[in-house]
Amino acid sequence: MKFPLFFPALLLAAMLMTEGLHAQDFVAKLVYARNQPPQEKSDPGLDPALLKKIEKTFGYKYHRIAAQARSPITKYTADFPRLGQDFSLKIEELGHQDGKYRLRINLFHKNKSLLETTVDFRKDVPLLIRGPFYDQGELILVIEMTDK
Amino acid sequence: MNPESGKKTPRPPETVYLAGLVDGQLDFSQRNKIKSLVEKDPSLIDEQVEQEKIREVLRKNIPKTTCPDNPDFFWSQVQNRLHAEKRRTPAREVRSHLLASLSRLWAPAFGAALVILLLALGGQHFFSGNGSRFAEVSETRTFQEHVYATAFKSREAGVTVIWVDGFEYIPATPGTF
Amino acid sequence: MNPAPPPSNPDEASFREPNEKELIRMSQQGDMEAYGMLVKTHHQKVFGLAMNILHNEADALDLAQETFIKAWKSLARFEGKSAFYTWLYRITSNLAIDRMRKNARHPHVDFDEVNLTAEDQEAPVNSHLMDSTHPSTGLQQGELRSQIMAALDQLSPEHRTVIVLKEYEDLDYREIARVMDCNIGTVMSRLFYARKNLKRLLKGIV
Repeated sequence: MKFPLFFPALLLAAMLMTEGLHAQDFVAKLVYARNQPPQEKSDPGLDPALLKKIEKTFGYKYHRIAAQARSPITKYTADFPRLGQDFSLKIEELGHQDGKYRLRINLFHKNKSLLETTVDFRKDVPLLIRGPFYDQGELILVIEMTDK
Repeated sequence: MNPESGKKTPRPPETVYLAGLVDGQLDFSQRNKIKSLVEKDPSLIDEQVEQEKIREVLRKNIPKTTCPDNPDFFWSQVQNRLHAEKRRTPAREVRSHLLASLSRLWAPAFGAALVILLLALGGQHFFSGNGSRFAEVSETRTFQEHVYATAFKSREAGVTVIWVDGFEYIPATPGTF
Repeated sequence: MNPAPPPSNPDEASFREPNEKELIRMSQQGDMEAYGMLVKTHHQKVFGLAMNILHNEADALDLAQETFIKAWKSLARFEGKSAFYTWLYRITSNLAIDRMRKNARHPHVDFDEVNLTAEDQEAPVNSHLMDSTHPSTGLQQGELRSQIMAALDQLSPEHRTVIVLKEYEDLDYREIARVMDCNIGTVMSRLFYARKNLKRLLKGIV
């Protein structure tokens, strides 16, 4: 055989391509929610439907995206881009089928682990995590899976 | 007023039946009793009117109360408090050494069985591929003392929430975001 | 009312939500999910009662949660002789009365229930309420409600509770007696004197 490494290489390439095909983007947004009106008029930058969910759940009137990050999640990528200076996420895919992803998510503050959770996600079905009290309100982490 | 002694005349204890009369809660004998009292002391009619007026004013001005917490969140708060109390329960409640050692044996076995069951159920559910509009949380852990997390589906808001209590307050510092 | 449409497939027919009695039984056996359903069903009513007695949202919310915690711990003792909500109300009002007693900063202005006389029509006790310049007809409903609330705050815990249970929650005397753990005569007496006190406190308005 002239190319002994051809088939293993093809197999590996096929595997990576399949991963690439199913990979979705995960978006994490750290929302600063509060009841004190902001100094200047600011666009919360959130989808109105999502904003309504946050308002109904937490009861805050004003929202601002403090930090956000986007990344595809596969079995080979675990470290998510940082959320601001102090917050970071580790997101690991545990499996996927029929558009549903099972992820293990770790939330860190200043490199200290705060929370670990295992969640099944579908596209455009968000998860809200109530974070710490911050300044005059609270930080709420929104994680959702979207198309690339 | 008693004209002979100049002291106030106490009313019979059955005067309170006027409240029952106004509310339609008297039985036959109580009704007869209050009627005879009113015949003897017509000023009791004023008392009856007074009771009716207050009743009417209160009923016309019932304040509207709405719990600020939605049902799911309210329940999650109750659960948090129940769990927190459970954690505070001292170990001395285990009544005997025998029971204690049994519980030590059974707890891991039960835990393992539960994990297997949950995995089986979770796996079944995971691969059934239904189009739920909620993210499904199967496990949540926190790593700091006094930090508790509860996951729930808020039907009202249509979203899954992991509610974490006990994080330290973070003051706003320049450059955080 | 229109009858519910028949289930479209047999699986739906076999699945139904457990009723309250079943949920109570399941909760008594330690089923937290079943208890959660009971809590979600009754939390508004329990909060409403707490709020109407305490007049403070944060306190009422805390008390409502405390009610369900206490209820969970005492569920084994619930025998189903009264409605579940009456039992919850009993816990709520007991906790509310305890809390009011603890927080009492000034004496209440109730009549002595023994020495009521025909001449008890003197000046109102709560002068700041009566100094109001609003004639009774000129009061907006919101203002009137505030005046009523302030007057209720002046009553003793038992009188305030009996008024709320009767006038706001519309319980009958038997139910109030169960909730307040007293006899019907006491309910009647408390209501009578509570209303008289309110009349004095709201003089010029009612």
